[in-house]
Amino acid sequence: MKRAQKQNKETGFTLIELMTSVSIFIVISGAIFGLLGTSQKLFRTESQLLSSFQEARLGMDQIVRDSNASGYPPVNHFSTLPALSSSYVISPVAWMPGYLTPASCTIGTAGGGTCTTPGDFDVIFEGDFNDGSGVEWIRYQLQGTTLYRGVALKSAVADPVATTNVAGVMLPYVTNVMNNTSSAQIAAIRASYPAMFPGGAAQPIFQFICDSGTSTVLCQNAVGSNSPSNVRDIEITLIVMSPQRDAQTNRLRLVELNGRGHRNNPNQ
Amino acid sequence: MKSNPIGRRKESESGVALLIAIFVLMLISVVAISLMVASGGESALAGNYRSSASVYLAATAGLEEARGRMLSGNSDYFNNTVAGFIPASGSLPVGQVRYILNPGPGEALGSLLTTYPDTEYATEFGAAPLSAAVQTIASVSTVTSGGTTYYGPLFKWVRINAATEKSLKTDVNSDSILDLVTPLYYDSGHVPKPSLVVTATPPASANQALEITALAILPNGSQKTVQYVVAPLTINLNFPSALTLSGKNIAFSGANSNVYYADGTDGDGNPPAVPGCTPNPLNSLPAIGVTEPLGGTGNKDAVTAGIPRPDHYSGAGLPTPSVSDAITLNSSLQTPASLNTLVQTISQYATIITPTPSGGLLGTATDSDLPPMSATNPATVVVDGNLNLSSFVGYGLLVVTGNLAYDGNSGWKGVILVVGDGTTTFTGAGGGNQEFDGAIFVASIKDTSGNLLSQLGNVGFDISGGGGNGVYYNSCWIKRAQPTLTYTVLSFRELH
Repeated sequence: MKRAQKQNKETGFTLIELMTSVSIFIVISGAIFGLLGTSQKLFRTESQLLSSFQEARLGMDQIVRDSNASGYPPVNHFSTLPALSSSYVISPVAWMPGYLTPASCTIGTAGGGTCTTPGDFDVIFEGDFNDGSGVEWIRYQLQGTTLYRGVALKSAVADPVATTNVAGVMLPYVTNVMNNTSSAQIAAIRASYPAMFPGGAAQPIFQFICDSGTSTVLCQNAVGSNSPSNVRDIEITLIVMSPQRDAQTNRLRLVELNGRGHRNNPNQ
Repeated sequence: MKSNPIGRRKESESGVALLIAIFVLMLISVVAISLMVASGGESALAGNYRSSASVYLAATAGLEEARGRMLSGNSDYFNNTVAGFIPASGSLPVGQVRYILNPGPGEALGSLLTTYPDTEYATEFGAAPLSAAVQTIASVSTVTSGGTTYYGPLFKWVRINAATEKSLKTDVNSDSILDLVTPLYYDSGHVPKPSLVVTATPPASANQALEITALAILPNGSQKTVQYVVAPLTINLNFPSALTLSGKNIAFSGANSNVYYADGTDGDGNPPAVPGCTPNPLNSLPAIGVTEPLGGTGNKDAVTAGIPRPDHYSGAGLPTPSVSDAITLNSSLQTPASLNTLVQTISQYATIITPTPSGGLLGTATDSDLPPMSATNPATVVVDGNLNLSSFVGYGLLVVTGNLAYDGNSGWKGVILVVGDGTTTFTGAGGGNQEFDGAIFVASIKDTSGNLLSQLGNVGFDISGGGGNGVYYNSCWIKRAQPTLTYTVLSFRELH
């Protein structure tokens, strides 16, 4: 019995055993939690980057699709034009100033042309997008770092800018778009991404390519044909920044997406 | 007894390991599942984006296959596979429907329209097409080679049919009525701008507009229907007279025959009919048109003086002989350079270019060098050299870059362009009762060394040896003779 009792008493852990195991446990769990914390942070920043990327990609897809489908029904579908211009498309890409009066503007870049829209950060597509509403104007405009999208029925008496400027038409579409950010921010971005913002200047979202004889050139280089009705393709560049910096390197996180919209419908 | 306490302890601890194991497993599972859910959401978003882009591209690939295969110059031309699939006149009556079928892996050609029915047609025309009016053809995008089948773009079918106001839901003539039965034509001569027109009797400058609709469905169920409205684009040649001679000095010697006439009134003579086209007799042009690059009336006088039977030359209400030097030439017929470009363009779409050039010398082609042709199957022939016809009747567009001579019972229905070197001659020594219906144009664009001239050179026209029954202006044959260069896209839209 004595021996049995003695054995029973010895079944617990010694203090040393306990302390050793606890400290091993602490060290291991510390390492695990440390790793977990880092990966959680990484996961958070990466998923933010991914969701920015995803948002930009969906935005890009929609711009390309609106561009491809714009221009229906063209003027060539009418032997006698309807009384109201709201029933047909004058040009797949609408413009201002001079839309309502028969005058067209010229497309430039960085303020080089006479068009307000289409411009580097603003475009209005015109067409029946087959949603049952008839001919509409779809506008994309960058305000600050948010790209807005607005859809409005084409009006025969109001211009496309005024129509889409009505309160509640333009809605936020893609956020954290850095294409036209401050020069200080551009310099900071170029430190991490030297290939972005060539020349340190703002990066146009929309670049318009016009027909010129048998070839196509950027509209601002097309002499005499740099009007919105001659736009054939639209090069789209979206630079989107993740709201948070990289968890490990503390660098800015950006993605640049490139797309091209192609006008399928004739322009007049 | 000694081992009892130990045995008890072992028993009481035996479930703990299991509990701990289950707990740890649950923990790991929760982490794993949450990670899977997060990445699963990402890949679903990326997948949606990818399939929306690929289904769009697959559908447009279908449209392009149809647009390409309607061209007779294409080796995959519809009518090369199924005779008469697209009527030779290039037009389809309203109600006639053509499908290109493109079954995917495990799908049968015959049941494709049952598996993927065309509900869009009934939406456009109010009812499904009559089965007797439907013809189908297999797509060429799926290729079998060495026992392996390679599938092309995943469109299911492409429909080709006549377009109407109703099918396009477009009031083309703004009369507040959507016409269901009258086909639409694309009139390149419409004023103020070329446009679709609603007409059962199209003018010569119009070609029928066709609707091409394609459906694409991906294995994941994404689907897209897109539609083109297209119209054939031709070189759009028109002529100011039945016989046009353009050059510095014109030598003219007319036919003595009593049955020979030159007539500028549209459709006179005995031309074979062109399906879907009726000549307009009110459209009357001079029998012979000449240019006067040297000023004065030298060429007109030379032609008039060379006509033995003036009363046989009529048209445009002019006193006989109907010869005019107040003509306006199509821009592509005006200068040696523009005519040379025209010949190059036509050569690209020619049924045949003959004879094969040998040593840089102009060869001479004869009847046997020409392809078979008929009123229902006109050809585009480019003779790079001289052409001697002997009792040959041709149909279509004939370009001769040398001299043209004919004898026997010869004639042509369509357009003849003789644009040669030095002094280009058109010589006839024919007999019989054949005639030339359409238009003839003769000019010199090169010198005898083959260099392009800066101005059109001299022209000789001599049919004093006999000219058959004559030359008759015919707008339908002029139109029919010109090959379709391409099908222009008049509009594009996404339907669903």
